[in-house]
Amino acid sequence: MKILIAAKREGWDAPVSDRFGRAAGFSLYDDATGNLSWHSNEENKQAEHGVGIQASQLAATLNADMVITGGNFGPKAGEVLQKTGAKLIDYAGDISVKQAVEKYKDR
Amino acid sequence: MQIAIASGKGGTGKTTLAVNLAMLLSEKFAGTGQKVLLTDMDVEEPNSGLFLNGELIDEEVKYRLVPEWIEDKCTLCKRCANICEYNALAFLGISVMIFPELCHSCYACSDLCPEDALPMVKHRMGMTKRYRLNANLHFMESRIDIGVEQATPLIEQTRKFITENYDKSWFTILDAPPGTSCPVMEAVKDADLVVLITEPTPFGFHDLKLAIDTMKELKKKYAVVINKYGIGNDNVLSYCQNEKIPVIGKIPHLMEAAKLYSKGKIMIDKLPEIKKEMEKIYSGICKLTEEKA
Repeated sequence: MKILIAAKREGWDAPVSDRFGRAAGFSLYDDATGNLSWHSNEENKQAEHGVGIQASQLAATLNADMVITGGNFGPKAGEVLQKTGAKLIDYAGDISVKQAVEKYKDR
Repeated sequence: MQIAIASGKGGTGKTTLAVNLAMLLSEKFAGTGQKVLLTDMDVEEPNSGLFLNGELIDEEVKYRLVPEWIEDKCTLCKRCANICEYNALAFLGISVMIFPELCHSCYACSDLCPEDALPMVKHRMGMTKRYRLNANLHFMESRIDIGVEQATPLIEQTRKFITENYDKSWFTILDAPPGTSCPVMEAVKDADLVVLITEPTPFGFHDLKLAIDTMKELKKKYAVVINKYGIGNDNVLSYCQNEKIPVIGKIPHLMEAAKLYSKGKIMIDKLPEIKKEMEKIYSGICKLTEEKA
């Protein structure tokens, strides 16, 4: 099971981002290894349009089974993510990446 | 001759000027062989037509081209998604999704797809209608469909239609969209002169400067008309004088003009002060474009 979390910065203690397409980056948690890997979104988030699509494409490429954001997914991101079949968690709230993983990994 | 009437701020009188100038010139040109085309380029909210009555010449549905994904041909190489400048394609590992509302119809994905799996197909974006108002006056408007995100492709098609169908015997007046971004830049592309209309208020002045910067960037010849002249302050006028920007008209602020506007009526046949100012604006345009008045 792989969980992709929109985050404000790298690491377990980073707060979950309330922006999805324009998050600073994404932490990918793989429960097979227990590892957390960082995928910066710095370049993509500057784009005028389609940032949600790009972020969703990343989720698809990384084969995420679950995607978490602190706010909501935009309409286009939602459309793409639904196609990937990933479980979507929105409004995760003001919590850290670690808390998010603990809270949602068994859902 | 093609002139565009633009402004930074909305509601400064683009349509009032465009419509009244068109009517004046049609009257003036009667019997000379010269004709007038008025085109509403503000495809998101075309309103020149509210002041006009004419006989429909033709109407045409307008399309733009957007790629369509052919699953059977696709080898999932991801080239299309990598190449798209507008993030209009999503590569999902096993499929490609297309977002027509983000597509700029640039053909990059379609042309560069090694498998021809992304042919361009027609998407409806709006409609163009042409009317004959009298013997030497045509009116054209393009109207974008509700929900279509980009106005620029329809404005571009309208602009090209004018080039292809209206020769030099036509004096073309374009009623441009407000603002300073792509739609207005596309609308004024072919214009020999851009007339920036403003009102003498801090808001009008602020947005006029933005519009002037836009025209400088586009290297367009431009002039200023002050509408509702008499209200506000003198900042617009003194700015134009200092910067040596020609002010070719000052349309007076009149209660009667506002009343006519509120009823969707033409002003030149009722208000001689306005007609006189329209004449002045026309000679200003001729002077700046070196056309004989």
